[in-house]
Amino acid sequence: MLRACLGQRNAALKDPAWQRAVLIEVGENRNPNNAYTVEQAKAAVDAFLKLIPA
Amino acid sequence: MAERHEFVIVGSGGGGGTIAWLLAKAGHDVLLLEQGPDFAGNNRDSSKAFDPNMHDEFRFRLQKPDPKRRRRGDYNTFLARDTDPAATPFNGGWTASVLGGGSVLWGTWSFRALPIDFKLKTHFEATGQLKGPNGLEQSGYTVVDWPLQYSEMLPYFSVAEALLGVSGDRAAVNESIRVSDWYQRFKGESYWGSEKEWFPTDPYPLGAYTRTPVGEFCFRAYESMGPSWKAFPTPMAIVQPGSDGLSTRKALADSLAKQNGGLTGGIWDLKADELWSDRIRDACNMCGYCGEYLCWGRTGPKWGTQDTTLRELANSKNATIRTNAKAIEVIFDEKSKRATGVAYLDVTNPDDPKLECVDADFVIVSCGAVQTARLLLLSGPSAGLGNSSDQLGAYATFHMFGLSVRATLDQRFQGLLHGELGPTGNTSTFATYFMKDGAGDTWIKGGHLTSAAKKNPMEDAVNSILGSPPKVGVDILTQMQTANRQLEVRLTADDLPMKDNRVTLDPDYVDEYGIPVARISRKKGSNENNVDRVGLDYMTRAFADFKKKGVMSDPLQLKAILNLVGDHQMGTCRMGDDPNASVVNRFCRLHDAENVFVVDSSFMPSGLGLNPMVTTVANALRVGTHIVNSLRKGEVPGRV
Repeated sequence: MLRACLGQRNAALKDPAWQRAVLIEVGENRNPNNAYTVEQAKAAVDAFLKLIPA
Repeated sequence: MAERHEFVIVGSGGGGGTIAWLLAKAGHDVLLLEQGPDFAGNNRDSSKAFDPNMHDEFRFRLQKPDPKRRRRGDYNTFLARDTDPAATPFNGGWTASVLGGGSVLWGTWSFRALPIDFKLKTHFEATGQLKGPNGLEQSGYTVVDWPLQYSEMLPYFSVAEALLGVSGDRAAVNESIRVSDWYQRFKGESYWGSEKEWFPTDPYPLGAYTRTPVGEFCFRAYESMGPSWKAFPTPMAIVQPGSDGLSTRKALADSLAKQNGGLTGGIWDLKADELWSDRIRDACNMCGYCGEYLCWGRTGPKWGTQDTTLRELANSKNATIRTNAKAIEVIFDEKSKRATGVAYLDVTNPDDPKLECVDADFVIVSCGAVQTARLLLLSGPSAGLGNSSDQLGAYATFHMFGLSVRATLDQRFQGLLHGELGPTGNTSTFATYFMKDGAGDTWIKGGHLTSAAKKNPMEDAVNSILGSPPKVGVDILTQMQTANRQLEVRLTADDLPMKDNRVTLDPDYVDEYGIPVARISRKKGSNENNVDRVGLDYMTRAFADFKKKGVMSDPLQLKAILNLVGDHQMGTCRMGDDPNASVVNRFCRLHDAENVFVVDSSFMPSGLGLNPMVTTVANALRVGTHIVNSLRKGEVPGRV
């Protein structure tokens, strides 16, 4: 059940958003088939730093 | 007539997989035995550049036994010395039981041993910490210097970094060491080593790995401690994201060109295109499934021997790679004091194992420090092969895994830490390699400090269900949300060698084929208790500025866990000049057998304060070069 809820191997639901519903709820982006660019990583760092007080 | 090979190598990880390549390249006849299957080859769809079949948290994190870490029916036992009444089976102590061994699962933190790691006894003698009523010796430690000069390893470190394809920033690593309080305190000591040894100038094959939010947070935490804490991108054996990929051939050529005659003979006179194919390793795409997972990239963006050295041997006429071959004995002839071959079980069908024997001129063992000790204890005389002085299995060190401080960020950071972006251990400092204990001049050996974040959502959910009290429903989601905002700094600290921290054969437990399993006996001594205490203080202070700014709640201090024994396995076949105090000589040949070598990290007389893989690969290159050169001269390899 957890495996299905957490979108790891949930073939029953076609829509990726529904497959990842629980993960989205907890702010988790870890999924099979993930791939990111250096630019995306830098953007993530920038967004993160905006909340860090000087 | 029995099958015969010049070299039979047991184990395909960083040590075995490397020396197999080197010996085969030199034209020798090599058989490599690996107890596990070719997991990546069998499970990865080779038509895809990246195959998400490897991204399976259930299979690789929750399923027991983990199918890549240990075979069905395999286990070790553990005894907490002075505490446990008896040893009991446990899941730990395994690197990996697949083609490539531990090299396919490691976190890829690619550090050379530091010069002082070869001279710890001299150092502790000079600082007055070795002798006396409160000294390390009195407390049960047997700290020794390595029998090698650091300069002997230098050329092999460079070649190892080329083979691994390390991404990193050399100048930043050097700077972190140079400005540290401990380096400044001891740099003038006569035994300390030269600038050339401490601060290599050759760049890594590739530029630094991309920093992520987890790394950025730790970068700022380290540097908040002042100018003696310099952060740097962790050198990693992963092809730099955004790069054009890595040509190992070119990296090798660059390394060899810089040697200035430091490497001759062996295979090092070959041209680069004779050493390596034109294969390119693709750049990492930052999928984040590292460490406990096999890399999903077809070309091996993350280094492991199965996608590099062993792949180079795939079509070699003089090298055979045999998987599902579980070695159970190095066959030894007492009269000649030589091994004659290896007995193994063909466990292709684990329900129908077949006993096989292969003859060999030379046997090279490289199964990880726990299983190497087990195999040698199962071989030769009744006390074990290489154990005439009761040294085999002793001085096992495993690093102080679990020693860390965890930060939980404020709720406004929910979803912004992005632990899914590449490996989270991407930012380090060497400020903690030695740590000052108190107001005086006492320094204890620590290790390098690295960023980390746990990032397995399914495991987080299971842990919350199994927690105390168990969480269900909304509480699970809350727990997972919290885990999503957590990060750690982890200290890869040395546990100093004690003779009785050792691997033996368990007298009571056997595996499913009736073979005694390895028993790991371990305790923390006064040094480890001090490292726990001082290390936690250092790490907690690193987060103090963020705590003051209201970014995070009180940090959670986590001491090293005694039975968290995993990939970092060192000792058990100590290298030394004295046969009464060590198992292998400076060429990693057993003192007790003319033709048996050990090339995994079990040779290490002390455990380093960093990941041992680069040193293991470099040492395998060193030993392999010695063997090749000796044979070409008509000399017996391994003789001192």
